[in-house]
Order: sequence, then C-alpha cells, then structure tokens
Amino acid sequence: MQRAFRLPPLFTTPDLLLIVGLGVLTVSAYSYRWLKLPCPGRDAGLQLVVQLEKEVVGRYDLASDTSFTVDGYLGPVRIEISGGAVSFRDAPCPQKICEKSGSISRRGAVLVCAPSHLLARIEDPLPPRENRKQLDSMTR
Amino acid sequence: MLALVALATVFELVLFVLDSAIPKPVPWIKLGLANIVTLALLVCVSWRVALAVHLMRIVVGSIFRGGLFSPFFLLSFSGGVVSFLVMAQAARWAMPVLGFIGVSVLGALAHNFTQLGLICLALADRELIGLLWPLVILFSLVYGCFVGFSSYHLCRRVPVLASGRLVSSGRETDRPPGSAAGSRP
Repeated sequence: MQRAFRLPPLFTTPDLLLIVGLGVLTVSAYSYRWLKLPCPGRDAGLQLVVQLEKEVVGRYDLASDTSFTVDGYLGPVRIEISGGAVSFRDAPCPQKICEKSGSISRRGAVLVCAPSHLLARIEDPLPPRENRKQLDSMTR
Repeated sequence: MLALVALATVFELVLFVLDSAIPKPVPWIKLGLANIVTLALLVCVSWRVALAVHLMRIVVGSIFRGGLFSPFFLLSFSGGVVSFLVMAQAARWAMPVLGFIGVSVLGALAHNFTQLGLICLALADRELIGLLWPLVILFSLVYGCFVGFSSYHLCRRVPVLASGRLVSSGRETDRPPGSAAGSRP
C-alpha cells in the first residue's frame, strides 16, 4: 500500500556537514596556495631579459637578488632585482617615468625606459609546452 | 502528463535564457536556474519526467542560444546528464537524509567538475584542474544552495507538486523519494 507523499526537508544536518566540509576544503586550499606563493617570479624560475632596442644585452635569474647597470642610449641605467621583483633605479632620462613605473614580477610583464631605448621583460625559460602553469586568457 | 512536460520545459527554457543573461564570474559556471525545475520534478513527480524535461531544455536551449552540437553544447549536455544522474541517485537513496540543498549541491558539483574535466581533456592541461577546483567547489556550494532553496519553495508554492498528486499518476517504478516505493533510475 502506498503512503502519502511528504515533501523532503529543505535543509538537514548532513547537508550542513557537506557544505561545511567542502567550504573548509576550499578555504584551506586557497590558504595553502596563498602561503606557498608569496613571490611569483622567484617560485616559477622566471628570467629577466634586458633589451637595448632589439638586441638582448642580458639575462638574469629572478631567484637571486642583484643590482646591475646597463648602458642605454642616454647613459648607464641601474636595474635592481629584489625579492623576485624587478625595478629601474637610476636612469638618466629627464622625467624618470621608468623609475616611477614601480616593479614587475610576473611572466610577460614589461618595464620600459623609452629615452634610453631599454626594455626589461620577464620571461619563462621553459619551452612553451611546460610553462603553462598560468592561464593566458580564457574565452567562451 | 504530456501537458506537464510541455509546461515544465517552457518554464525551464525561460529560466535558461534568463540565466544566460546573468553575468558570470567564471566563463562556464552558470547559476543553473533551470535546474530549479528539474530538481522539483525529480522529487515531486518522477525521474522519467524530470529527465525528459531536462534533456529537452538542453537541446532546445542550445538551438535558442545558437551552437547546437558545438563544443559548448557537448559541455552543456555532458554536464547536464552527469548532474542529473547524480541528483537522481541522491534523491532516490539519500533524500530523507539529505535535503533539497544537499542534493542540489551534489548536482552542481557533478555538473561543474564534469565540465572542468572535459575542458582539461580538450586542452590537454592537467594543471588546470589543480588551479581551478577550489573555485569550482566554492561556486557549486553557493549556486547549489540557491537552486535547492528555490526548488524547495517552488514545490511548496505549487499545490499540484506539494500535494504529491502527480506522484500517484506515475507507474510504480517512477515513484520519487517522497513516496513509499521506487526504483533506481
């Protein structure tokens, strides 16, 4: 014999346990990733490539803190790598826009000193197949 | 019963089109408004009716939106079928223990992880899953709760669903979890 139909409940204790469990899992996964990756440049093994016009004048590992001088069009430019981030420090250009641009640390980021004809770009030395740790773009 | 299927399909399609207009925080993760009706039918009518309405909504919805049998259709279809199977099993076996929200969250998780898995397969990129799974769980929780809540109130507000009159019109094997007996879909 068939019993009367009863609508199941909206929310039960197992529901709460399921939601809390998954929520804790998500939050801990993000916390772990956030703690593990304080510095993208240093952890990913990226390189700084410095170009004078089209010619590459130097490659530097972002893992080690250093400061060096590159001869630009107007004179020597000092570039500093500190904590996996790259910044222009002393440049002979009149407006110092490159110094005010701040620092870069992610793959593909670029700093330019236009009057000196200098370009500093962060690259991944791995071949393209292996360096897809980050999404370039997504489309729908 | 045919009129119910037609009516529910139209209702799902309206929700589906409305859902497409809502901005998405992550490209392929949608709110899943249409699943409100699917879950309500699954619980208050039968899995056969719910499956018919669900599949018709996916196919006709793809025609409306454009791109029938395109990769996006395949993503939508596979996600829809897997999430339906998971919700049907959960409703059949765990429904008095799990509520509407629990079943809905499981369905949302199945839907989003199927789609993420297929995207990773298509792009041959295993690292994408490692990167995105916490985000997928987070959105599945939020959207699953919303769909479960809405579905429960739809069942309560529509007398023909709340009374269980449609349950008795199905065959013995069609009975959903609220009634005495049923079979696995």
